[in-house]
Amino acid sequence: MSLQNEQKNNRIIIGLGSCGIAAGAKSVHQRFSKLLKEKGLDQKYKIDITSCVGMCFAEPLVEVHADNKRTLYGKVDEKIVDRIINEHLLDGKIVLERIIDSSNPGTDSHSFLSRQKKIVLRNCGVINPESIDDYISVGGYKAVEKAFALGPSALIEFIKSSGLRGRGGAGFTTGQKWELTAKALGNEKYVICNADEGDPGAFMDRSTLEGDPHSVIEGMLVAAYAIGANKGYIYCRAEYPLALNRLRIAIKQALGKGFLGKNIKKSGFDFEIKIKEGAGAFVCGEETALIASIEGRRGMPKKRPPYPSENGLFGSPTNINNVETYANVPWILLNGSEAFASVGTEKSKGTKVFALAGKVKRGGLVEVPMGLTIREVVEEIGGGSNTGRPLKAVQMGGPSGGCIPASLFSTRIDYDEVTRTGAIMGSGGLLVMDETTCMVDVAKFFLKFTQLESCGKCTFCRVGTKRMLETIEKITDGRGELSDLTKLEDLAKYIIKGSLCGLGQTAPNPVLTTLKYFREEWVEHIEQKKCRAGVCKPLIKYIIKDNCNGCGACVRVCPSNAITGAKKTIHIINQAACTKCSRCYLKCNFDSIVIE
Amino acid sequence: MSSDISKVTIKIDGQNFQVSRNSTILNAAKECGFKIPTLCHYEKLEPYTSCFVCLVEVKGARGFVPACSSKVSEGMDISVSSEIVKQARKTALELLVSDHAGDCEPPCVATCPAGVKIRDFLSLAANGEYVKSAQKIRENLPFPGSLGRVCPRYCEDKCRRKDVEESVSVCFMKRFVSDEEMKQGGPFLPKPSKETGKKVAIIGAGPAGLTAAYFLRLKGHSVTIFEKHAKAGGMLKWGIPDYRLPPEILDKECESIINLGVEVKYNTTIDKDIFEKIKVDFDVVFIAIGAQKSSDMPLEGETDKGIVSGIDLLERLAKGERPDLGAKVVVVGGGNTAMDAARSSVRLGADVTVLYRRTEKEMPANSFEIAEAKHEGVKFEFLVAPTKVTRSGEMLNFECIRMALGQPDASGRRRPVPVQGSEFIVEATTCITAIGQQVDPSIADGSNLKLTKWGTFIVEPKTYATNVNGIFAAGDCVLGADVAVRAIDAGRKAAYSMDQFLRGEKVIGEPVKFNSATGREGISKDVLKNIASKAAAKMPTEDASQRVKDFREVEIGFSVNEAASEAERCLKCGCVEADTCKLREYCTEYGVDQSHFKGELRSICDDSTHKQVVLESGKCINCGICVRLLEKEGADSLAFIKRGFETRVKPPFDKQMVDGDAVDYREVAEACPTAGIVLRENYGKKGIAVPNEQIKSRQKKTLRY
Repeated sequence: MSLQNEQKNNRIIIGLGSCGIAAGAKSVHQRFSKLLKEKGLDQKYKIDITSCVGMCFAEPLVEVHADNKRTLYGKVDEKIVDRIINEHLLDGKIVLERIIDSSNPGTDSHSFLSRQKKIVLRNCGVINPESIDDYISVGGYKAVEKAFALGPSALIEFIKSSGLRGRGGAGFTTGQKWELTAKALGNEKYVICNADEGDPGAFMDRSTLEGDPHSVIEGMLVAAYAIGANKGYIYCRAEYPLALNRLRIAIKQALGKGFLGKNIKKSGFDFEIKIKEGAGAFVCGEETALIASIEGRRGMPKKRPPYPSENGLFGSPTNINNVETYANVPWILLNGSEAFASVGTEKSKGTKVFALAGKVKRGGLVEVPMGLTIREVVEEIGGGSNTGRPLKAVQMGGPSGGCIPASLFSTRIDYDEVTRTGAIMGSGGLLVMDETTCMVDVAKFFLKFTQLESCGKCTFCRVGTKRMLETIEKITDGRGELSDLTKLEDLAKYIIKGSLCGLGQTAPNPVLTTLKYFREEWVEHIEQKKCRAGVCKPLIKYIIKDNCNGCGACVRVCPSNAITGAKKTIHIINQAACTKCSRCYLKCNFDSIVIE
Repeated sequence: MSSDISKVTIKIDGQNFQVSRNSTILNAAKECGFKIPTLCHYEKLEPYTSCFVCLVEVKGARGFVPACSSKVSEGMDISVSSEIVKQARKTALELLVSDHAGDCEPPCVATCPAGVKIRDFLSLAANGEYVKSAQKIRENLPFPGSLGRVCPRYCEDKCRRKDVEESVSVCFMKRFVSDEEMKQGGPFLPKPSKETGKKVAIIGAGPAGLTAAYFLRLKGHSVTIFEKHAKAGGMLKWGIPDYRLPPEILDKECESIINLGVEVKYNTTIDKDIFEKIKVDFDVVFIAIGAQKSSDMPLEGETDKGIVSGIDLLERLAKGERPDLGAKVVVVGGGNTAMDAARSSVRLGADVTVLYRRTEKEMPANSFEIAEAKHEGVKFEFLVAPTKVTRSGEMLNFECIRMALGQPDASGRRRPVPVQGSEFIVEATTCITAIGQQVDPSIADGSNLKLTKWGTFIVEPKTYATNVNGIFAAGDCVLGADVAVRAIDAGRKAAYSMDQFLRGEKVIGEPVKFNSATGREGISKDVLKNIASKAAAKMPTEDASQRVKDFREVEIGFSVNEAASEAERCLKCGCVEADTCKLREYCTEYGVDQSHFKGELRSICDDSTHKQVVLESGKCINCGICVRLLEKEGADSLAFIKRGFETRVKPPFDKQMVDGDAVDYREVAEACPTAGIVLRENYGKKGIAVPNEQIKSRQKKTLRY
């Protein structure tokens, strides 16, 4: 819903990304269709759709183009639809309570957007993702022409000079990867787009595919031309039905317009793309496992080298990049490698998309120039703590990443700087935590995830992570010993050094970073049998303080009848019956129930 | 750079080698004479890299490098046997065995202090091959007839059959096959090897000394035993009454060992001078003097007359004396010696009461000994201790005090504490004390042999070497008074070390094989439910009213039919690949501790539906050799299923092995590094039951587990 773009027609644009749909955008869409028809406005106003602009905190979003003016509404429901039609469209009076004014400093939307730099997400929330004409109207498929004009080797040099690094997590230089694949010997070559976004809470690639599928296709096409591949695969998880649907539409449209298929734009170059749906194994995001999966085998990683650039899909040289990397490519070609390299830090160029979530005021999809500090992202874009309690850490890089403490919030978004903290840039998960987050529990959560998602091949990963997890469970159950911490660190060392793929090599990171920055919390769990965040159930106790006024609200929500007390007298929790579900704690209006 | 372009120069553990350019580190190291362990690598298949047992360090590389799938390159500096590498491999192996639901050895064998090959001797007994069966026992324990009567039967406690109904009567079976062998003119011992000319002196002809003599003689060494008594047998001879172990049985077994050419110098007490001379005259000295000195009872007013120690009484009985103990005997103590003394006193015509300061639960005596004593009319007073004795005429008056159990002491048993004011009097004509035995270490006087504060000899636990070169010690004189089966085990192990010493080899003791012992945890109760219940054969005994009249043997022994039926109750536990398993080999080599990583263990769900092979999923290590070999054949009978810790190799979907492709599984089974997939024919050969399967041998239905 860009407010910069000139649009003369009268239009109602509704954000129909997965996030918008989840917030109720479909019923908003239906209400508009129905009411416009009823009021006889359906000739004057065209209903259009777009995808996510990143403001998940304000969904559903509706942009109204009327009388050469654009107005963006947030948190729209059916009642607001009625008011927009009656007050705005019919009376010309804007519904002020729900307006989102990004041009006005001090407003949420302004703070959210002003520090962002949109390269990858340039078209998301702006164009209709199901229309190739929309894409073309904003410069789409122009990059291909430029690529054809440059020729493969100059094209690779061009990408190299932009400094683009792979956005999948490891940060390998994209141009160099293309060059290796281009130089590798092989009759058949492949490009693969890794859209197997599996980190819990991450949705950068999904939003990109839902909001601007053509930019990814165009990026793949450029890469394919550079390395001499005629076949491409998009490996996307089946849990992304909307992304898959829009990809299919986009591929069909691109074929129709001659951007895919034989002899593309009379260049003599052929390229076709197939979609391969993943069955939901996290490890298939690892490139060798992903290749095995496309080949119809069980997704299990292989030893590298040989790298896919040399021996990849069906044994042929293969270039694998992720969605975000490909989406950068057309922008770089259109705006120049210098323009791209001018954004970011010395070794990390361009932008990075993050899924900002957790204890922040404004969660959503954000794209920031490299070099911004974590504090700027969390405080300025995210608006800081949404609970009023001080922030404690951010978890970066998902299960492979680590926890960066608030004391290191001045760390810049930069591959190498982030790696130095023990976390990784990863694919872009950014989870914000405050004092109510238990760091031992966080480590347990992520390790449980990687343990369940291990492909089971390597001994250290399959059994080692299980033994680590069991040790952590022992600690959160109150049975821990101090020597367990050394055991964890020791085993972690072997898992990192003795696993084939990134899943195993990074699985201990959440444990190690929390042990590094929040060791006192681990020790507290062991020595004092105490969880300061009040998360680890066996270590906490809910008690009722003297200021209880005996209202009985807690009694009514308790599922195990553990709370007793006569009306208007202080109530008591029977600890033996308490299941520590926290309902009473959340229900009490007088802060009389506390965690001990 | 090397001149030959097909070669590269690499460094392994600091040495330079020229190896083929295309070879992997694994193959290159092998060529150069270095051994790198691997489980998941199979020559005919592409490298797979899953076990991570072949880890090496390569200078400059991040993390460890799997040798099986990493190619050599010019100038590569590889470390294949550094401590760091060894520790990494050990960790990988420890992780693998922490999820290994299988037993290498059957639980009975793993439990037996002497490691007797119980399953195998029972299997021979079931086939009626009694001599071979006794000889099988003698591979570890040269006293099957004696121990078949007096062993405390630790094996039976761990017998898996116990989870069905009752343990197999292993001990009685030991006795049975030995008796049968003797009926045929046995014991039949192997012939000693060629004489080595080395001379061994053994001090003490008890179970430890004779066992060492047996194994050293078999190795061809010359053996001389110095024995202070007039007969051999040690505490088996002097400490166990005839009604439990008839002297002719023990004598026969001792003689059979002595007849291998052992010289025994009876009635020889070793003093300082003789000991010095022995040290000079012999190449090695083995001290096996036992713990034969009775512990004194702290008793106020102790009088000599009327108070005897249990072992003195038993020794007098063994020498044929039948002393008059009077009408009323009290026995103080709760161990096997106390039971022997009590039951012997019954046979001497006394009314017998045992006084024990704890409760029956804490009694160290074997439960079946306690039961037999009760059966013969022995009375018990628990939580009682005598404090003072006075004499009035023929009677001794013991002032006793009642005890209560307090906090556990170092032994884990609750310490008895006196209850003030609870004193009472017990009358007796004789009091027999059996509250413990001690080592008499006077032999060490003037030597620099190191002793503990209890007077036991200090030895290196694996080799039984004392601090003096050429002197070894084992048995009760090292352990303190203990059961014969442990003395026998120590005697055998000491003999192994002494043989190494005599051959001039490094003395490292008997190799101990790694033993996975997690099968019990992995067994589901459902598997055991399918086993047809069959009661254990009951040992026939002399009637209690008759047997108390003299010292005849109480237990009569199994009939051939009873023995056959009992032998067939064995569930034939243990692993069919115990001798060929690579996992076990490496775990032994790397000194793996199976309990280092504790946690969830895979459940056993074996598949014996196929006619050629059996899938023992509890023992699979996920190396995938089977899956990959079958894949080469175009077969998909086996696949990886599930993820994470639950990843398993199984027939895909809900299929079983029988549903798989019709291919020859021989190579697949033979390539399996463990017993994950096993040729069916091997079970029969090894005498081990096929899992999940009703065996029809001898019309009996048994199952493993």
